[in-house]
Amino acid sequence: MLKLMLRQLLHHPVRMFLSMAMISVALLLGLVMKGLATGVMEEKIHRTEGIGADLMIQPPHSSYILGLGENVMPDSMAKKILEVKGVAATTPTATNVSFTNRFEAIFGIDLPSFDRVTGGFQFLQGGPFTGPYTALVDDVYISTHHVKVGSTLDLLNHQFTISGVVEHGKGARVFVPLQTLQNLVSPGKCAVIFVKCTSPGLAGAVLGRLRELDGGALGGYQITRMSDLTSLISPSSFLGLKQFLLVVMVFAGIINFLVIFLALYVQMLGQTREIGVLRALGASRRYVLNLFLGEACLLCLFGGGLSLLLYLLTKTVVLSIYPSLHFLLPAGTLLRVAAIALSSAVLGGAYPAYRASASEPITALAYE
Amino acid sequence: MSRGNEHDTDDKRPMLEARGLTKIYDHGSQSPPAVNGLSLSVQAGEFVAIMGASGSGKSTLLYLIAGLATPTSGEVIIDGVPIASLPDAARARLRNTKIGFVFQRFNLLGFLSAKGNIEVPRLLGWRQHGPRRTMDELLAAVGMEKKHLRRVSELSSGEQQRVALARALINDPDILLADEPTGNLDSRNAAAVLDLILRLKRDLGLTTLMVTHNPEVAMRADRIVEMQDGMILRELTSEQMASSAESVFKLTGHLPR
Repeated sequence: MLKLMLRQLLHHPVRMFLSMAMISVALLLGLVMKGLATGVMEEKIHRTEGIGADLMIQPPHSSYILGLGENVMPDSMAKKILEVKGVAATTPTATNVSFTNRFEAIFGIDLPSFDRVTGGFQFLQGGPFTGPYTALVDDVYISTHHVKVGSTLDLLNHQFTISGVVEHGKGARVFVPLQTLQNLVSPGKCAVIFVKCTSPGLAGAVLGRLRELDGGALGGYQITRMSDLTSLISPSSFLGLKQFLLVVMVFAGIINFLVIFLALYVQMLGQTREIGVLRALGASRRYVLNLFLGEACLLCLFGGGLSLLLYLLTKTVVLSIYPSLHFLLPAGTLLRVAAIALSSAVLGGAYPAYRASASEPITALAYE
Repeated sequence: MSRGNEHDTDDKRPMLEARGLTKIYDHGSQSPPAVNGLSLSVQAGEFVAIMGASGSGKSTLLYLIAGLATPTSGEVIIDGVPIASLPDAARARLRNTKIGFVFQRFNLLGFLSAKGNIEVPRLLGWRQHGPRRTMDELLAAVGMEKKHLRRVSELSSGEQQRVALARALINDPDILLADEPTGNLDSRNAAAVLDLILRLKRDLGLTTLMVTHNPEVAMRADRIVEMQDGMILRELTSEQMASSAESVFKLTGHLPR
């Protein structure tokens, strides 16, 4: 049957290619959206985890995506938390975003305490801050922005000079002195306090102690174990993103359904006589039904394969233009996309397949 | 390639029978039946030519016997099995394994090569045991061994009908139904295809029902059945053909050789 399906499809290569192309574009839309959203988030998680802290404390209802939080927490809390048993180091960090050229998260850090929590930056060029309006950037930043040590950055309407280039993976791509950022956006306040425990195994116990600190003074704050970040940061972390991705996939499914329906309906009309011949040669109704449904699935399979190739091509092109972006397609997403594509193919092929199988051989053979 | 004595013990049993067969195409109107209460019995290995004017019901009779159309009433029995009451899959299986069908318009599948077309009945998956003939033998039998990879659109009419004949025979059927197989061919090709059908029929011991307008073709049958208005008008056996030149002339317009 597979041989017949393939021959039948290949008999009209233009129609087959157009159907595949339409299916693949519909699926590609969903794959790129999901791949980009997941990739960017995974990379954010990776960078946040790369800080090396065991806990992070944020104001209530803050986003786990650092940079989106507000600087409303007194940085003096970091010293108080340092006194808690099991805490080895703390560092208050102010955050902001720059919209100059591209969306970029900026960390305002206190370098000595940040080094104690993170283990210190690995400098690739230059060195630490040399003044209040100096900045550190990571290696990804210099490759995407084509800057170097000594270049100036326009951040928050101020000029910062790059004093050092560090290896990526410590939360943000741009770091400025904590006090400078605080003075610019919110004096004395920070958005997050990173906590390093004396042992990672103590994170749970320290978290409990922090909740009880000063009779529950931190009770309203958001205290997160860094090891829980992966499960906490997902498309659902962004209001509406999950629903948006779902709508995109539903539309991809609908387009898939319509394309398959149209392709097979046209085929059914154009090959009525051939269907009659197959029936005359001994094809049962079920065989004809399966033949058409099989062709629907094959079209979908080829279209899906093409969409994956186009996804890789899109990823390559996008990453060559925006190297700081990330794509990631988890196996679960691929399976879900395949399920949506296949089910819409079967639904789209069902009516043409039924019509083809229900035709009387003698009527089909008489068809001109 | 002969079947030998496979049918010797069954020679007295009809290979196919039509009993009171009626087919009305459009129940809504008062259209006359295409086949009207027709009964016919064909012995295993017999060659029956069906003649008659256009619209006399010849092709419909063939389609009913092949199970390609459902009779309005009556029954078709193939090798002892009544087919009208069979479920679709069983009828499909019977068409695939018991019957070979050759159409006037060849009805080859344009998206396949000559060989691909011949293989189609095997691809349908009903055949339980291996084929009696290999593809090469079949291609050689119909003289298509050198052109089997060509697309059917690249073949002449005569070659296309040879391919259709090979396709009809690939699953070792007992019955060959041919609906004016030479109707779309020029006289040279028609004669060649007819010779081929007769040779294969003889070699394979096929029970053959052939609709034809050609008296010369009909004269080579064991029996001629003439139809009119969906009924059998008259029949002529080979003995009668041999003994009565007058009746042959009446039926076919030709004198017997």
